[in-house]
Amino acid sequence: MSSYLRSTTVTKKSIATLIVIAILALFVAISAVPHYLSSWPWATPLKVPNQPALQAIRDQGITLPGWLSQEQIKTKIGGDTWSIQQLSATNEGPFAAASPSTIFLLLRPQVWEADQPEVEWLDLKGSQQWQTDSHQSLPFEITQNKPENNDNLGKTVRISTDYFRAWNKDQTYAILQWYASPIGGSASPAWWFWADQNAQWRQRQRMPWVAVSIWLPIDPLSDIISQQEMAVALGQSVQAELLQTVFTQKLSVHPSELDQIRAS
Amino acid sequence: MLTSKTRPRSPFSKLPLEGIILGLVAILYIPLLWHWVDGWLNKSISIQHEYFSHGLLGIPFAAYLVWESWARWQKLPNQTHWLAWPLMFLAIVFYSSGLLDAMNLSFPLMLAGLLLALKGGKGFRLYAFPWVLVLLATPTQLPYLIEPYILPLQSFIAAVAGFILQQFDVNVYVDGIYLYVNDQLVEVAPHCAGLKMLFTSLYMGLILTYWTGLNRSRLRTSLFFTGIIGISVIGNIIRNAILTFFHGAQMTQAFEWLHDSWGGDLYSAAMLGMLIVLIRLLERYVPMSLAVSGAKTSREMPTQAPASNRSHQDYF
Repeated sequence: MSSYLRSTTVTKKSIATLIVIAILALFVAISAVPHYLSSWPWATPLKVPNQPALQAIRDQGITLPGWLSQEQIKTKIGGDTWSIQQLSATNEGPFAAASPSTIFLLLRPQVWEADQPEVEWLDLKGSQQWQTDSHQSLPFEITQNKPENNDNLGKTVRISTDYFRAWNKDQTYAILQWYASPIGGSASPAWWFWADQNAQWRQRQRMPWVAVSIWLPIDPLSDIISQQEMAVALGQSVQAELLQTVFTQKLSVHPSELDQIRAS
Repeated sequence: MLTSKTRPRSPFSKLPLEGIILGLVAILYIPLLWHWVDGWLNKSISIQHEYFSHGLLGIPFAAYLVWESWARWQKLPNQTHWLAWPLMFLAIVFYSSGLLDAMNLSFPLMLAGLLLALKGGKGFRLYAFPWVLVLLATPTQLPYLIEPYILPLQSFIAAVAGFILQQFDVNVYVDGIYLYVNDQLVEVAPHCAGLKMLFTSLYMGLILTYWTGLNRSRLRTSLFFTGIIGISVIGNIIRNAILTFFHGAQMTQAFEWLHDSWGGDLYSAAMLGMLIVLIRLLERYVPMSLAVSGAKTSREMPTQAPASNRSHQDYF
């Protein structure tokens, strides 16, 4: 009995062990050796597309059609640098009859590849000593229609924002905020995380993001339902502007695939 | 079955083959492990990476446990569990992706694959504990995904720290996770709320229960882990109260000492010291189980494995 067992284990051992060694040796040759010869992933991290444009947001903010930038400052909130813009509606254009006619736009772009969205909303809340209520998810869509940006033409992206009322002893606001990305947006960092993982696996690049917070001053403790339409219009306008100026690199097709398409 | 003293000899003698496997795994993963260690020692990668710095202790300890049971590993019958192949395949795909998060995960996947390929389910069970130590020390983005959900803990710590400071006549106002002292704002951020310290304490607790044999008693083990969570929450309340006081009193140097410098390490060491005190107290005052009769004691020494010094299976 025992000798029988011994002989079978010996052959099994040899086969399984030899297979394992063969697999590992092949694996070393194909995957590890190239790393040894060139570089390891941590030495050459994946890049954020259009990084200079992202960083420029901190210095200049963005321009919105129908709105005039009264003032733009660059300031630190909770350890990160934000762009704060005071915008007023111009007499012509889509927001001519807007009420309120003055709004605030806060933007905090990703600055380098390891920069992840984290506690941006809490930082804002803390810096303003806000009380908040009426939190609701306010989704909207936007379709790219500018002909000069062929890559994204006709693509519809979906954005799921957080819309709520915030007040401190000075002012009450209706607030709309989300993390904007080339493929859409959401107020949740987890949404960005999975979009980023997807971009890393498929496109070999990081998913850029910009934290957007729009503040509409309203009467003390008044209802935010009446501001909803304007908030969505502003949200669409900001996302469209970001898509056209910052998130311009095409994210749906890998550059090498693009070359193949051109070659054929 | 295992009485025969002479081990079966294959045409290829045993050690070289296992040595070759070990060597190939080393070629694959030593640069990666070195990168982990570098990030832990120099805090140069990210906060998420630092959450796993307990690996500095856990991975060598896992290696020691493997070495300690090496004779038992060699006596195990050779069999292959089919799961070995998909696991190894996944490990190879993750490694070859060139994406760091995936590459990190490739290491525990490959180890599990190898255990199952060489000795089947029995081999995996023998080394399950060291493998779990490696898995829990593998840097992932899990803390990043968890952080948004510990807001209640942050508010709780801020509220209690504020309450304590009020007892010392400090002019403090608490709003959610924010503490205002003399118009200075302190935010109890997720990593400040002690999530990292909690991870480290639980991991060290895991090693300690195993090391001291506490895992033989389910009652003591559950009390121990409840205690760890309690200690790390209370410890963080005290730490945050002191930090807030330093910040509010404009004692910048003292704040930096406790927050960034070796004051933080001292605090961590004190916390881990508390774990040892707790384990000693449990061993002295808490019975092995709540059962009145001694009937349960047979669980401590499973008859299936008389040679085992510690019952690994009981752990999970």
